[in-house]
Amino acid sequence: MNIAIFIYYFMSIAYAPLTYIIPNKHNIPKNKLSLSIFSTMVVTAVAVFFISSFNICFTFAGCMIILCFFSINKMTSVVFAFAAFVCKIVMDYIFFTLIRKQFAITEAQLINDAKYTIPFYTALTIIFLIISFLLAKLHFKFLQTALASDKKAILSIGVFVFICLALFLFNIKYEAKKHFPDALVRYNSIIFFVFFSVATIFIIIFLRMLLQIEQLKYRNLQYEQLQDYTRKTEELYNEIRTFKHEYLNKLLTLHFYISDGDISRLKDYYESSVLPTKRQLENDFQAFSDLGNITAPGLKGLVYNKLIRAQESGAQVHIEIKEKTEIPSAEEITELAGIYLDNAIDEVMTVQKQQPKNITVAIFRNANLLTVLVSNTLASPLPPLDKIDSVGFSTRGTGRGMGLYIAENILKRNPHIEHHTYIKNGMFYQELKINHDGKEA
Amino acid sequence: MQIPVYICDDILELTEQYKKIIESTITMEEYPMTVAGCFTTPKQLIDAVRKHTAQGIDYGIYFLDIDLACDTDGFSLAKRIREIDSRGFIIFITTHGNLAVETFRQQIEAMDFILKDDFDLLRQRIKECLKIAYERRSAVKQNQIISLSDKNRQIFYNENDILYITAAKKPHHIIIFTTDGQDIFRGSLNNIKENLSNSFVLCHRSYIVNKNHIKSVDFVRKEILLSNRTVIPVSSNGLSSVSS
Repeated sequence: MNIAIFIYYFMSIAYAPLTYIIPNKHNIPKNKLSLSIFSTMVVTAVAVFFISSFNICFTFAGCMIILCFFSINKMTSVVFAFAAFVCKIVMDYIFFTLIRKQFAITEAQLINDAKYTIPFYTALTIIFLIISFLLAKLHFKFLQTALASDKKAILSIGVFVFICLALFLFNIKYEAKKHFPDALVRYNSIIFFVFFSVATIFIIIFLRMLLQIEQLKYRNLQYEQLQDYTRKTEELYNEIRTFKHEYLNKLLTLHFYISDGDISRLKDYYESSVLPTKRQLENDFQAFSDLGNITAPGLKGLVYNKLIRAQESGAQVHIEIKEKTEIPSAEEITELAGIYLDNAIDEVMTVQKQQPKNITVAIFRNANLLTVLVSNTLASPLPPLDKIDSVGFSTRGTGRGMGLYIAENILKRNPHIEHHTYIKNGMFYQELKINHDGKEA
Repeated sequence: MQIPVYICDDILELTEQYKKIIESTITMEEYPMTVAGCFTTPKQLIDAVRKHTAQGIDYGIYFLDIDLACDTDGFSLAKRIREIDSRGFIIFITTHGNLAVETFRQQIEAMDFILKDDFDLLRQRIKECLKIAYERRSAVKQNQIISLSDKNRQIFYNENDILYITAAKKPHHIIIFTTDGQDIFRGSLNNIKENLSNSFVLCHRSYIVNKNHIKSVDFVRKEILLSNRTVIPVSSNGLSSVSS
C-alpha cells in the first residue's frame, strides 16, 4: 500500500463532500470544515486498512460526512453526492478497462506493483478532483435556480437518480455474476448510463417548465393586485373630492351660526356634524397611500394584497414609505417580505379580541442604506429568537414553520442582504438592510 | 442646570396648549426642566437651541409637529437638531397621516410619537414622555448605557432594562433579553461582560444575569427566577457568585 492509493481512497470519499463544500464555501464555518476533513481521513484509514474497494462504502461514507457536518440543504447535497457516485463508478470502470487493455497489465499488478500504482492512482485522483469540481460548479448553478427552493422537485429528482443508480449497479453485478461476455456488459452499461442521463435531463427540463408556468401565474396575480390597487386609489381620490365639497358646506354653516351668535346651536352642530368628520379623515385606505412610493410593482402588489386582507380581518395596518424608494434586489426582498408578512398576519390573528392587532411595514433610506421593516403585535411571548428560523419551528402546531427556514435560505444565497430580528415593546420585528448600490455592506 | 423644553408647531394656539400641559407637569413632578419657548418656525427653534448650546446646555427635550407649513418639515428639523444636539429627546406630536414611527425611530432616534387626534390621550402621553426623558437622563448620568452594534445597526441599552444575556444556538451570537423584548447580536459573552457593570454576573457557562432582576434562587434545582418570571439555569460556580 502506498501513498498514492491512500490519496485515491481519500478522494473517493472526499469528492461527495467536495461537491457540497465548494458551492457553499461562504457559509461553512472553519471548524466544521476541518472536522469533516479530519473525519474523512479517519474513514479513509479504516477503509484502507480493511481494503474493500467496493465503491458504495466510500460514497456512503462521503454522504454521511455531509449529513453529519452540514445539516442544511440535505436533499441537494445527497442528490449531488449520488451524482458524483455515478460518475465515479463509470470513470473507475472505463479507466480500469482502458488501462488493462492498452498496457496489458493485470489487476493484481495495478494494486501491488509500485511501478504501476503511483502513476495510475495519481491520474485517477486528478480525474476525480476535476469531476468533483465540475459537479460542484453544477451544484452551485443549481442552487441559484428556482428549482433549488422547491423541495418536491429536488426530492423527485433525488429518488429518480437513486433508482437509476440501483438499477445500473444491479445490472453490472448481475451480468458479472452470470458471466456475460465483457463486451456485452460494457455495452449494456453504456446504454444504461446514456438512457439514465437523458431521462434525468428531461425530468429537470420538465420540472423547469412547470415552474415557469407557476411563475407566469404569479406574475398575473401580481398584475391583478396592482389593478386592484389602482382602482382603490381612484376611489379614494373621489372620496376626497366629495369630502372637500362637504367640508366647505360645513364651514359655511359654522360661519352662519357664529355670525348669528347662536353658541348653543353652534355647539350642537359642531358635535353632531363637524366632529364626526374626523373619522372620515382616518379612512382605512389612507393607510395604503404611502404604497405609491414603492417603485417595484411586485412588492407594491404584495404588500397591498396581504395588508388589505389583514385589515379586513380586523388588524390595524400601518405603512410608512415617505420617499420614492427604489428597491435593490427587488425579487428577493419581495419574497422575504411575503414570508414575514404571512407570519405577521398569522400571528396577529391569534391576538385576543380586545387587544391591539398592529402590523407595520416601513421602508426608508438612510444615506445609501435601505431598510425594509415588518413588525407585528405578539400574541404571546416568543421563545428565544435563535429557535425560530430552524425547520419546523412554528407557533401554530406541527406541519408549519417552513417560512422562516426558506427565508433563511434566501438570505444565505444573498449575503448582501442583512437581516435582524428583535422584539421590542411587545412588537416582533423583521428587519432587512441592504446597501442601495447593491454591493455588500 | 435645567433642561430646556422646546415646542414647535405652526399653529401658535396649539403650542400654547402644549406649553400649559408641560409646565403643569414640571411643577407637579418637580422635574429640573423649563419650557424654553414655543416656536412656530424651525428657524426660530434652531436659533434658540444654538443660543442655549453656547451657554453650555448640551441637550434638551423637543416636541415637534411634522407638518410645519414651510419648506423645512419636522423631519428635516429633527435632523438639524440632531446635528447640534445628539443626545436630546425628540418627540413628535402629529396627525395620523404624517406618522412614520419606524422611519423616525431609526433615523433620528425619535423618542416617541403622540397623535393629535385624541385630546385627552395627548395630555397623558406628554406627561409620560417627560417622565421617560427624566428617567433616561438619570441613567445617562450614572453611566449605565451600553451600546451594541451589528453590521449596520447600533442599539443602545439601559443596563437596568437588561434581564439576562445568553449565547445563541447560532455560533458567535448572543441574545439579549430585556424587560420589553429580546434581540440577537453578533458577539461573545466574554466580550460583552467586560463592558457591563458589576451588577452582571456569569451565572452559567452561557448565561450572564443582571443581579438586580433576580427574584429568587433555587439552590436545589440550580435555577434562578427572574423578575419577569423566566427561569434560567445556574451552575455550581455561578451559585456562589450570584449569592455574594
